[in-house]
Amino acid sequence: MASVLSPLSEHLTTAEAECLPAAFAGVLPLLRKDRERLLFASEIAGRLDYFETASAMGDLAIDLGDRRLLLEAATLAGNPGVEPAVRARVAGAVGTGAAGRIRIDPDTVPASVDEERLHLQCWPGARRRDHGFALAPVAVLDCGLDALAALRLSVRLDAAGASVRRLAPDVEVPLWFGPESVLVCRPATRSRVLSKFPRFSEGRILIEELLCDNQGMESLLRRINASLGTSLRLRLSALGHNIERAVWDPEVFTAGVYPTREAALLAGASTSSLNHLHKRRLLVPREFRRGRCWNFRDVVAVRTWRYLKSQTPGRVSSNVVTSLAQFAGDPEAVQLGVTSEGGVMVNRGDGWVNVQTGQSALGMEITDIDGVFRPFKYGGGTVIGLLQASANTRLRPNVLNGTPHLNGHRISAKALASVDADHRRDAIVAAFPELENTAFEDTLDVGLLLLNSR
Amino acid sequence: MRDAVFEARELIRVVADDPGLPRFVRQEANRLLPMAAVEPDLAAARLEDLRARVLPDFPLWPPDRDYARCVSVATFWRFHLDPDERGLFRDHKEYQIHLEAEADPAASARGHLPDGVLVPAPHSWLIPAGRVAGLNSAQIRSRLQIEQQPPYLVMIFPMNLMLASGVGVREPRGVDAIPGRFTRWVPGDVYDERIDENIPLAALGDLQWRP
Repeated sequence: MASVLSPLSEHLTTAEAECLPAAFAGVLPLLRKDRERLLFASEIAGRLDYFETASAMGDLAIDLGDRRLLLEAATLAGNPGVEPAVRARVAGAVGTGAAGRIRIDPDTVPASVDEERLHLQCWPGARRRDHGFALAPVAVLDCGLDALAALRLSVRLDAAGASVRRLAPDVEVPLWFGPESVLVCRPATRSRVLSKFPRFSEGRILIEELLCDNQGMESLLRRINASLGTSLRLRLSALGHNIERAVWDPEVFTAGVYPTREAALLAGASTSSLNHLHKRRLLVPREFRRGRCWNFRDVVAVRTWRYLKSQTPGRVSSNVVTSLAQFAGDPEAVQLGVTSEGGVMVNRGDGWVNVQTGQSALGMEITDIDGVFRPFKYGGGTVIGLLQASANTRLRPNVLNGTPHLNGHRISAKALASVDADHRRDAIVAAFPELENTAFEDTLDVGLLLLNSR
Repeated sequence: MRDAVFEARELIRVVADDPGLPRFVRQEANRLLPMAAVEPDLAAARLEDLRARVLPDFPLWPPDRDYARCVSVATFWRFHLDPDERGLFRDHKEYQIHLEAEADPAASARGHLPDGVLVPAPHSWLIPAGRVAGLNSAQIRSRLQIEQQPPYLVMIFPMNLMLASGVGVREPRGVDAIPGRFTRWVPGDVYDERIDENIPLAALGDLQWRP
């Protein structure tokens, strides 16, 4: 399923993602003669909670007399976004069977242990901490969020073992909000949910403007995971090794070897600025015979300082450089932030805490370090993205000594740019035959930038 | 969702390129190529017809060893689970979490199998049981090129139970790739792989859990 959904979500536009539920509803009737595919498509619709398909799916199930399809339609019909007439039609077809009734109506009283488990799967708001069943965590996504970003997040959440629900605007808030649920939403939806479920923990409500890039997704997944608590976690390992280890994991954060010119380019500073910081002993790079080498932590420290200066009209303390350069990483961190006074703040899933004093942050303005990693404007130019300098260029401090490289290959951007003086594609492909059908032109540009940096 | 033309062409290629198939079958498949470009679903249906016509000619032989079938929990949930049992889980993820929490997941899964046909003929791809003995899920995934993530359930069909149930096996051919749309199948891809007619529950020996 993930192998079908991931490429699908990666190649859509936001407008197409908005139309996807309707497209599913349109496709289902075309598959009526191909039961296996029909069930597969309905399963995808169910897992993404495309309640917009409930009507088409229910009609097909009734028409074909397909009980399995009917149960899938009943699952979707439980979403309050489904029109009452459609729900009634599906409920009528389901009859008195508990497996169908429980899916549609939260007030159905389970008559056995198995039915109780199904009830808690469908209606996570009815869960108590001591329910005694092993159940999937539930992620509720506000339908008002960016459709493409929400789709990509849904696919990742599904692959990580979460049950995804979509909460439509202007519908009754369903029985979804219990101790094993997380809500990702806009501020207005937060109020709606809390007014219906006042005991739903604020810690499990993430007010987000969803971003489509991998880095933003990974950060959000970690925060969702942290907010679920220790007993019920997402299977982030199923999403690949990159998601498992954040860049501020100690082994990653302190890795990387950058010559001064490369460090300066990645930090959005000049080499003289770096040397000045070194002279003031705010940063202490390693000294080699061929010159100084900086690590990822140093680059992040300087880049953060620059970023704060680009965002803040007032003065930004250079303490932030020292504080971040001394921060050794935190394996529990799901979010890292800084204050303009230079404090380094960490969020381990239960709010911001100062890493030096251990005190909670109250009333402080904190800048999320995630923003530092993205491209930003400073001094009349644009600083390139740090972890993703271009569409096909990645940087992981513990891969190839942290130098930007071509995504999915152990080929550095600088190596690509060094192959041929005229940077001809055929010459590069001759040197790296595995790149024959790979787009690498943007990584080549990054390599040239690195080689020509001053 | 899918590129029907590409899929139909690839299926035709799988059949036409299988040297183990009679010449007329391969030629007939090749002749469907122009149709695949304009009527891919019809071409696929014609391939199905072709398969139905040639299957009775393939000789089956009694199994001479124990065989196994490895499936992900999602596949087990979709194709093998008792429908009544399946109805009591919202989706396969919930079923997997349930199994993982059980003291003996394999025994629990076995209790959820229906009587009658356990593996329908088109999906009865088998490998010698010895080829997955002692392998962990990562090794199984790599050896059998399974796309889905572990954990896996390994069904063991002992030779004596297969014989007692009248189960015969044969070498898979390109036409066997048609029902499951295995467009990447090539002859001998998984060494010693076999396929069979319907396999009844009575032929199942052990059911193993490989997390």
